[in-house]
Amino acid sequence: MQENKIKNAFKRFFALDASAVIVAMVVLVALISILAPQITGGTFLTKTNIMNIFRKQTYIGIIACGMTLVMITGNIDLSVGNMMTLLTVICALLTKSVGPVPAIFLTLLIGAACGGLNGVLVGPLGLNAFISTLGTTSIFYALALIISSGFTQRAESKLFDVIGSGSLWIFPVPVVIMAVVVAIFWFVLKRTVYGQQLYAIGANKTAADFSGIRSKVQVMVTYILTGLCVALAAIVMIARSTSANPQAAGGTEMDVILAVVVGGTSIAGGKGTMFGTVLGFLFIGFMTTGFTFLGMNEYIQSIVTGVILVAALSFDVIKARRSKL
Amino acid sequence: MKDQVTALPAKKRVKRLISDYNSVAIVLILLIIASFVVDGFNGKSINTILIQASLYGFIALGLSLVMITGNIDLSVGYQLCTAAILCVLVLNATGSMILAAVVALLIGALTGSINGWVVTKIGVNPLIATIATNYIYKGFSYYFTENGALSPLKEYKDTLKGIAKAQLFDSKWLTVTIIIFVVVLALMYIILYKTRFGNALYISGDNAEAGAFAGININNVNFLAFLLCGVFCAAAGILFASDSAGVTYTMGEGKDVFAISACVIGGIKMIGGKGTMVNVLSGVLIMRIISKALDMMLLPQQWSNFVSGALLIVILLVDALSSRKKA
Amino acid sequence: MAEERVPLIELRNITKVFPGVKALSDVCFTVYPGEVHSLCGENGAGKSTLIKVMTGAHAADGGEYFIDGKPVHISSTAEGIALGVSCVYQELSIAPQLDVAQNLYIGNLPMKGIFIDHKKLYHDAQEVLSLLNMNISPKTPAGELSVGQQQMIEIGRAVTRNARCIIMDEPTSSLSEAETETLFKIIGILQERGIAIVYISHHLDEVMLLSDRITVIRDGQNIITMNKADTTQDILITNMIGRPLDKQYPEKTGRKQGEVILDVQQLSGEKFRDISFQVHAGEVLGFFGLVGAGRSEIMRAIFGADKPSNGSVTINGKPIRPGSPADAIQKGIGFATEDRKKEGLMLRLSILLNSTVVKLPHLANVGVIDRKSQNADAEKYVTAMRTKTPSINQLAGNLSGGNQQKVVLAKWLTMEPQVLILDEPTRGIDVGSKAEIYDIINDLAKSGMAIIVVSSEIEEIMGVCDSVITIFEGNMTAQLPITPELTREKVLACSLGGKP
Repeated sequence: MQENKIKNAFKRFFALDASAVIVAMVVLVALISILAPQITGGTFLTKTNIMNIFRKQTYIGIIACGMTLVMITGNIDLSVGNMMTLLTVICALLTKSVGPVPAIFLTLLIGAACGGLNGVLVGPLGLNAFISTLGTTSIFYALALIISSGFTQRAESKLFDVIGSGSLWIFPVPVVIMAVVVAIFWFVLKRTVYGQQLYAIGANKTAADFSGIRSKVQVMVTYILTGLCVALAAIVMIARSTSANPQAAGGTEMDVILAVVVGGTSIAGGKGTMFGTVLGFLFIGFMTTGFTFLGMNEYIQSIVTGVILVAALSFDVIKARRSKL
Repeated sequence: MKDQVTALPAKKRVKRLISDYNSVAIVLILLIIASFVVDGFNGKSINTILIQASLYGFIALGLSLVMITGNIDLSVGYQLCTAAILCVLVLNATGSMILAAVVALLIGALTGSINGWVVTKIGVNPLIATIATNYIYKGFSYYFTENGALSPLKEYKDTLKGIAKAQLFDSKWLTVTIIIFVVVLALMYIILYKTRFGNALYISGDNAEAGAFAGININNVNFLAFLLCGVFCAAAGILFASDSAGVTYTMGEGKDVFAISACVIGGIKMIGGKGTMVNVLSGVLIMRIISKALDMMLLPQQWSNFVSGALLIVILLVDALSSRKKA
Repeated sequence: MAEERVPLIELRNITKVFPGVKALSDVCFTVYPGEVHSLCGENGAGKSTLIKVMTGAHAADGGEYFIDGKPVHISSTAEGIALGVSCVYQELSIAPQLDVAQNLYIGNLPMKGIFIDHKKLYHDAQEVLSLLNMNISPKTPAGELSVGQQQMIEIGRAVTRNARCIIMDEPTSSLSEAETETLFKIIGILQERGIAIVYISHHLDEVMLLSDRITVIRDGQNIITMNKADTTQDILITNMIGRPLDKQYPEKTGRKQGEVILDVQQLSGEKFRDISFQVHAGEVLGFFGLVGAGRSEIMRAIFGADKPSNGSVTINGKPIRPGSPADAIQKGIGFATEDRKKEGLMLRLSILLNSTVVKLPHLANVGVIDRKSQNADAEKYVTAMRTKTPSINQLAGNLSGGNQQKVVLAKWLTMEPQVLILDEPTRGIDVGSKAEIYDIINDLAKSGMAIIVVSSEIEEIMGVCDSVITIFEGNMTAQLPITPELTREKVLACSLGGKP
């Protein structure tokens, strides 16, 4: 009896889309917690460390929210990394010329426009998402370098100090912003018509069209929302680092996509949750912070990250294969 | 043997010819435009383009095999870097360029196999799988280029540089890199068109299930495509290391976007099942011509990014429009 | 005499177990050279599993397999092919970008040393094509062929492999009448060459026409093997469902025709011209014609999936915006398409979402879904249609064909449409579920819904419709009320371009 219950609980747990990342996270945190006192003499799971993880993952987290929607419809956005670079440069330049508040609004607007460009290509024009966003990523990168003439742009203002370094009670403002975005997107996916229609589009676009869903428009909107997320991430980044480096942020798209996929969102579309995505980017945060805490240098971290990711992804696939039988 | 093979109607044959070779036309048009618009665009510029193309070409060639099977490899840049590093390391340790090259190619086979194994044997989506393995190759590359660059020892510097510099008959048109690239391209053409393996690559991309029903081991075919991709990346790595007399970790950066762009601009489809060596060659040439022309117009290199990005989208648009007309 | 012949294929007491299910138990099946042996059974009876054991796609868990009287162990389709057993699958396995010749010789290319012998390839392919009566170039990309031609290529593929036994799984499901006839001719040619055919079809008339022997299986067990001469369709059906099927079609009494609901005037498109008709409340209007006659295209245009080049569609006097399914749905049209899996269902999503996806905007306040009414709606139709499922959270892909079709119907019924278009509503559905679907159609008509049924099964049209429109090459050839006096032959003649 008892045994059966435990067995069932296990079964139900493994049926969760995010089970792989939960297991991996528990193992990882346990390992680092055990190893940390021996190697560095400190404890890993402290409030400061955990807040640091949240803080570091803010950009990835905010962008991952938009990316989750895009990927649920079975598409992808490879341009978010360079879009973020472009938007930080724009935000910095605007702050210098028109002041922080208009800069924030304009950055959000331009972010939506950048996302809209991707959205028009993939939605109404129906182009391959992978290739078209690969195309726009080159364009955004070039624009960032051209606008900034390749130099780092500084932007300072009191408002940015609050956004970047202030806190609400014990929570840093960037983390609060991220939490709000996550909550909104969670609600949109779970409870709104739009969110549910995105699943329908990802699972079967033709059937969705035949059910009266305007899938081209809905897909375009996912990209616009992603553009807004990227703009928000860019603003938070500017606020924290007070400068925009046009050479930075390359590769962010990979971190974001991985966070979303590790969280159980299917690259084929039709599957994914915000809960999984949060777990996904926390996992990557725990991993990188943990490794740094253990004193691993960047390159070893990169290698270990790759190995762990391959393992986690493999676990997912093998699980899916077994559940099919 | 009396009955003749029914040929396609003439109209269809012409259409096919156009769709198969329109990328060649783009190359020619670009060359003509460049020679009119760009000051000083002459034979020497074309020579530079060809030499550059023979270096970059190997990456696109490797990736094209993977793309024909309907897969994708986002780790080509750092596979290249990893192999280049091994090449320099072995050269420094042994002084033998041949041994260094062999080891580098073997490392390419290894990194390619890792990708192939994760994708075909485990079944992880190729896009995600190669993003993940890319972290591994990237970390490895960073590790050995800690101080910015990995250089060959002084006494071996000329040996390394020799490959990219070597010319036959003292002709700048017959550099060893160009010759190797052309030979490999021709070889791959024969393999793709004339052998069972080549045919299986197309089947894998076109309808893998049909291939599996017909007893073709699709997993092995895809695995081999990834493996070969790794080897070709390694070949590119050796040539790049030779060309710049060392390895920097930035050598891996942006090569993935270049290779995918070249393949797609050349006419290879993301969905697989289509693509020839002519497509690869013209794709690479188009990318290099644009880069060279903008360079000669004294525009910053960023513009070449801009143009290739825009070109990618234009090609997609044209493709979508022409297939919409057909339907 | 037949008893003395050595069977080409003999399966003895084959058993196959999947986790939780015994798919086959002690099944015996023999095939002699040159015979057509049909395999009948409802969906889920074990036909596909038996085929897969024969081809080597599945290994049997028990029993013996003989070819030419010698025991064999086949563990892959490649080995099966090598031993002369080939299968033409229901789902086509054509590589669309490769040309016809390469498709014919897929996995079996003629070689000269290590190189492909292209000359021989195209020459041999040409011979196979002329055997198949196909007048196309072997260099045509296979994707440009019609579905029927692609099916022929599949059969040709089996021929190129020197198959001695060709298994055909529902080969006519997507063929036009003419193509079906060609197929039957080719089956005859193959038989003359001594090739055995295992024929699987839901169309019992085809089975009766072609077979030498017929085997019925049910619940993974042999029920009976008969010579064709000794059986009738009714006997077959009785054996397939385990009881005599008293009536397949419900009584049409109790339907009352009301006012005109749907009015289509001079609708023209690429594949049809000048289509005008009306459907009344409570009427079931049939559309009959050959596959490819343009029936589905007409429906797609009415629904707005394609934009017609000319003509108008009005519902209750209100015109429908061409090319907009959303508008058509809004004004009260529902459309259950012919291809359930591609156009109807989201197989990886729940019954809940599948059955409420159309109504979703109406189940929400300012875009926020009211979960309670969503669940209630889904539950309501699961109960009403007796959909067999453990819960509404089950994935649609896990249901049987009949139950999937019920989910598609539920999806439209939640909207309480005024016009419901059903394109091939019972394709690929077993006999038992078919009757249930017909009952549902009848009930809907009684409740005053205007219904269009598109079908290529003449029995179905005669059984459920009040009148029928015949379509030939994109033109309406007749509209005939269905009365006891109307003969099948007359409907068929009109669908072939004859005058009423």
